[in-house]
Amino acid sequence: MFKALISGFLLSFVVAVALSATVGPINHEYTSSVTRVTVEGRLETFQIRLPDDRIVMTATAEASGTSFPEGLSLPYAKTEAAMALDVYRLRDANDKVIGLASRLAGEASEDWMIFIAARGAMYLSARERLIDDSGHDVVRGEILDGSRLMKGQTGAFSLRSKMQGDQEILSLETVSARQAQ
Amino acid sequence: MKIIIAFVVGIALGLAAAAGLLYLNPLYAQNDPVPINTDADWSLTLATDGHFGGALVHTHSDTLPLPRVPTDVEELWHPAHKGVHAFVHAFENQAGEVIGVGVKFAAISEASRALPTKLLLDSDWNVLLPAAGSFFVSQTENYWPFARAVMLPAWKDKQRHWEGTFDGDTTVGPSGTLEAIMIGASGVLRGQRGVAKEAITASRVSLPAQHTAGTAGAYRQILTIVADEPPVSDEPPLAESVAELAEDTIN
Repeated sequence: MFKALISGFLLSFVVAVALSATVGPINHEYTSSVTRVTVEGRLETFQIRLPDDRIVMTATAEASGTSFPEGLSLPYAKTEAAMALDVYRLRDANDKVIGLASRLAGEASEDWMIFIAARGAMYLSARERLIDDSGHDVVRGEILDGSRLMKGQTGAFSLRSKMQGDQEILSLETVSARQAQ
Repeated sequence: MKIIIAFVVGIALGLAAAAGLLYLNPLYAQNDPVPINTDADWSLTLATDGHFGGALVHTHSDTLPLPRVPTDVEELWHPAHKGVHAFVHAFENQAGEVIGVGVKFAAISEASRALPTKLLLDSDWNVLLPAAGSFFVSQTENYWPFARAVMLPAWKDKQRHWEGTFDGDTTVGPSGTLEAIMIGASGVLRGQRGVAKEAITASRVSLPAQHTAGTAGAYRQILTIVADEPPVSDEPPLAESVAELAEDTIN
């Protein structure tokens, strides 16, 4: 009986310690939205459905707009500058939720960050805003870099806004190539 | 039958001993300080009240028993968001004036391991300081020392309260020298590269019940960035405001 007690003790102790040293607490689902590879690099398409994918929408008093959740506002800044911040769910081209996206805009800047837990983040900085031939709002800019599996990715992006029924669809296309580190 | 009972009791004792070993882990240590030079040509240290009442927004997938702020913010319930946290913080200068905002996404890392005391988060910041510009930070953080020194005692306490002293860097990478990576995006930081680190100082933390409003404690998150080169600006007012901003920040 004593041998059984010791056997059970050693077995569970060794297995538990071994698992704690070798097994992580989480396994992120790897997702990719690669649509095709072009001469310029890897083309990926993401989309955001509004208002369904909105998680946070807020701004300083200097930047007009409603907030979500209701009542949330950015505190008054010393600079008295207009700032707006949004957090969205991020979908791939097949409409599957794969991560998060944020938009952080000031009077002279607009940054986007896309975040996919299994892959990392991609850092986007807008350089121009225009209306295309179809009358859709378009934001174009640079992919500055990324993190983890997307580290070293640079290139260009475009973000188009269009209406689909009662929803606004933000369609984000990135074309990126990995730069030597 | 007695042998089976003894074996099962042995398994239970073994699991308890393993849990005790992890709790009193001899491998436990504070994170190494991040060796970045805050006296470099251009550095900026930003502070924000922590998410126990100070964050404007903190939502997550409920992997950890933490409150969401505000309470009606949507939970990150999609499978792709498992282990993911999203934060919105306002950054202050030494006078407590807001000088910018930042959004942080963090995911519990698959490389986390209990025995080597690694509770790793892969996290990314996007920060906007209207007087200076905007930047991104890519980092890996180890929250084990903070969880072991602050969160665990607070969770064990009947009042869910902790008081003491914690002061440590959470950044442990991704570079080989422990530093986070800073990438400038706009304003005088456009085109800039540099290093960064994040740290926590805490002396009092009260953990609220899940899904209730956070309780403020003496808790600050501090983000420091150091550009590789001083920013150049052709516009004196912007340069002056950056200088003023740097002087005002917490050292």
